[in-house]
Amino acid sequence: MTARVAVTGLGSLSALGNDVAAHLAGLRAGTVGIGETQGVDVSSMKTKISAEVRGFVPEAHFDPRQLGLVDRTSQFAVVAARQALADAGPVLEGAARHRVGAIFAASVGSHAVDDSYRKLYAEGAPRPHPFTVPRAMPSGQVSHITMDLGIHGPAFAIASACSSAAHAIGTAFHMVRAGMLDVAISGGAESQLTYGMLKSWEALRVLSPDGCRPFSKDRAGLVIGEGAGAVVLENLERARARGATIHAELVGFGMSADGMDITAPDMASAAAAMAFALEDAGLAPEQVGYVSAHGTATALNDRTETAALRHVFGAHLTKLPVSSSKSQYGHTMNASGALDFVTTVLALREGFLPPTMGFREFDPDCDLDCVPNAAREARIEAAISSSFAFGGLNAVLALKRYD
Amino acid sequence: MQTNDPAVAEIVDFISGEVGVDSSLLTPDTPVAELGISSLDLIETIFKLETRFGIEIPNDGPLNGNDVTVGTLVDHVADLLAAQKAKIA
Repeated sequence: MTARVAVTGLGSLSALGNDVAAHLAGLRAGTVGIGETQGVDVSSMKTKISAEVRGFVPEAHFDPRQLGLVDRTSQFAVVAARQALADAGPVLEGAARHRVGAIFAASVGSHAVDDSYRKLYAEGAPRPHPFTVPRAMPSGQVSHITMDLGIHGPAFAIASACSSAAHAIGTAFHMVRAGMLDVAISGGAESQLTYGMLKSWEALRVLSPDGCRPFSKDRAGLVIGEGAGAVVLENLERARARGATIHAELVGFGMSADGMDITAPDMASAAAAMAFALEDAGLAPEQVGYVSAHGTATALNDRTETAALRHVFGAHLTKLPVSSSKSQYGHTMNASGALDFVTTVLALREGFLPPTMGFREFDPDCDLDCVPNAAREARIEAAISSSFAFGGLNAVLALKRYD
Repeated sequence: MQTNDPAVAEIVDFISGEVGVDSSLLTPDTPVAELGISSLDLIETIFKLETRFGIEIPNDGPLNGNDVTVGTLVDHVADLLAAQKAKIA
């Protein structure tokens, strides 16, 4: 006997704003949070733009003594997790400590690495900051969340590049569905907006110089973003019994590995992950009313993803809106699966289709209704949120509206 | 792609050594993909060419795409080298 799983809490920080209300308003309005990078000196770079979290004041959220141990990535994670928990109400009341878990993306503390190594190598400092290791460790964000929220059950971090947060949420979903946990806090955060990482992405030749235009024929690559998404997943009967607001129901999780290439995507494997998510959810393709796409705006991803969608949805794809919110808040890497999940929950709950902004030109290889340039009202029964990571690690989450 | 040009020959030899393909197979019209050079291999090869010859190969130039031929690659590097020499001279 498996349990149904409710989404009872949401939290987010992104270039659209620093809470879920701002995220929702930005999605609806078609706000593009991409702009000239302010936090890093980009004068030596070709790519001047990114999707930064703006107006985030760490001191407003953390004690000064605590801050030295918390990388920007973990700061985002903790703040988003606090929001999700606050949104869920008294969800931890009466829960046994071993039945509440926290599963998050594993993200290197890039700011800690960048700051310390610059001082060490470039400035000839005799030693790096003593907290470089605890700030940099990829499990830092989930550790800080457990400390901050008082979580004492299963807690760990998952690494699968840009699918990390989706794999984390899917794993948390499995644990609640299997009856192992009553409550799980899950998601992911990442800030790779450092000098070293921006230069490294630039060297890989996948960055767009002038904006993120998923599915548009003139798309020119991805735009790096930063942020965090967090959700509270809860046994649905328990949520109902305590009178919680249920934002949506998480009903399926599909995974696959391309087993092909460390960067290039694979059509058949992406399709398999989507098909497995539908099968797990007991959804027919025709029941799906919205797809939150991986949609990075690289030439290859969007073409491959479209082919995979056609493979799974067939003729239904002509009536199926598919959009990429990366056009609004950039590619937030390990956070993207969580932010896209939050986006999808909001689309279901509020009854609208988030847009693909920056769309300029139809591409026959991306023959989709990508909800170009403006959100639309739509009552959606079910939706999927796709993450197709570098290295071919795919995770797709299926959700249903909860009335 | 003037294979009798020593500058071109040097580029061809360098690419041949880096990607492990005999230089006789590096003919102008051959798509690099047919030589088993994936898009990721091409990015690394471009990086090595930049380092070896002290040039900068732009992102939005003729090498941006998935159907680059040996001739396009070699000629582009040769042009950048010639432009660099002209600048120094």
